[in-house]
Amino acid sequence: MVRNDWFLLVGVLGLAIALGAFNLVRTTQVQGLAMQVVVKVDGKEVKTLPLEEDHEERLLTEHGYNVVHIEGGEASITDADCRDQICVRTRAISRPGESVVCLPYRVTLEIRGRSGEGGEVDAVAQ
Amino acid sequence: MPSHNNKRLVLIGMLVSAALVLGYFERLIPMNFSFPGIKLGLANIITLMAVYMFGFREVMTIVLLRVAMTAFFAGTGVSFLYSLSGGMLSFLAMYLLVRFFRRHFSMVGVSVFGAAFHNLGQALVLGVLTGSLAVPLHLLPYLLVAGTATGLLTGFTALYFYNHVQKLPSRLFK
Repeated sequence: MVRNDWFLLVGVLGLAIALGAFNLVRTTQVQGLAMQVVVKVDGKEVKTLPLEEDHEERLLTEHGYNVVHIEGGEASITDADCRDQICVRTRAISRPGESVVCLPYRVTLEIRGRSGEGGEVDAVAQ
Repeated sequence: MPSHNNKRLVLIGMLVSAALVLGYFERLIPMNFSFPGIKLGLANIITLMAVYMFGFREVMTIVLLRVAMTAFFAGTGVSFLYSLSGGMLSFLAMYLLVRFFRRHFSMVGVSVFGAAFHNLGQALVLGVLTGSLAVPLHLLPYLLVAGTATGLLTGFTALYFYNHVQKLPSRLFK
């Protein structure tokens, strides 16, 4: 490796850290608001569930099923019949912007901040 | 760059099949990370070597053939989009870096650069598929860190391999 390689490497890692910090700051800004879990299939919203209510359901899509589980203010996919099982292994999410993605079935859970009674989506969290 | 058409065709075919085998080998290794898109990217070894050996069109042929054939063997529609976008972006990034700054970076640096753009391509597809900006933005830092590590690995492997390829009689390539 030459010196410029190191600059490049540090640059990429620095970018990753900066982006991670940016995400963290943005996430903490909207904390304290009521959160909701947005369920999307093929990029389209099919459901929004309040994060504070425990809930479990089998989400059926044309490909198969994913079990959406909300407990103690955390959302996760606890079971699915998809090929790679990455969504099942993904840790539970609770902060805005965090997500659980099932790529084979194109199902995503996403946390969003909610402001007001009308379920208006917080612009910061989007 | 080999000028003779037949030899060039054979070389391209060999590199594509090597990339396919590396991809198959990679899928045998369980990678239980809780983030989608983290992988070794062994096929990058081939793309990287090809960038040093051939011109733009040949490398693009190799990348496109590899992505298309991997989709036939082991793909879902989504994984095809992932590797197409990641593969093309990382190839373009590495090609431009080598084309204009060949003497300033070693193969390892070029590999890390390419890996970062591969991650960017993955994040783009993820953003389009999920229709969200927050999802790819939150995943990208993890992808970049993992990509740097695997980029180093594939970069050193390609460097080692390429040094041996260069010791082969040059008439093989002309």
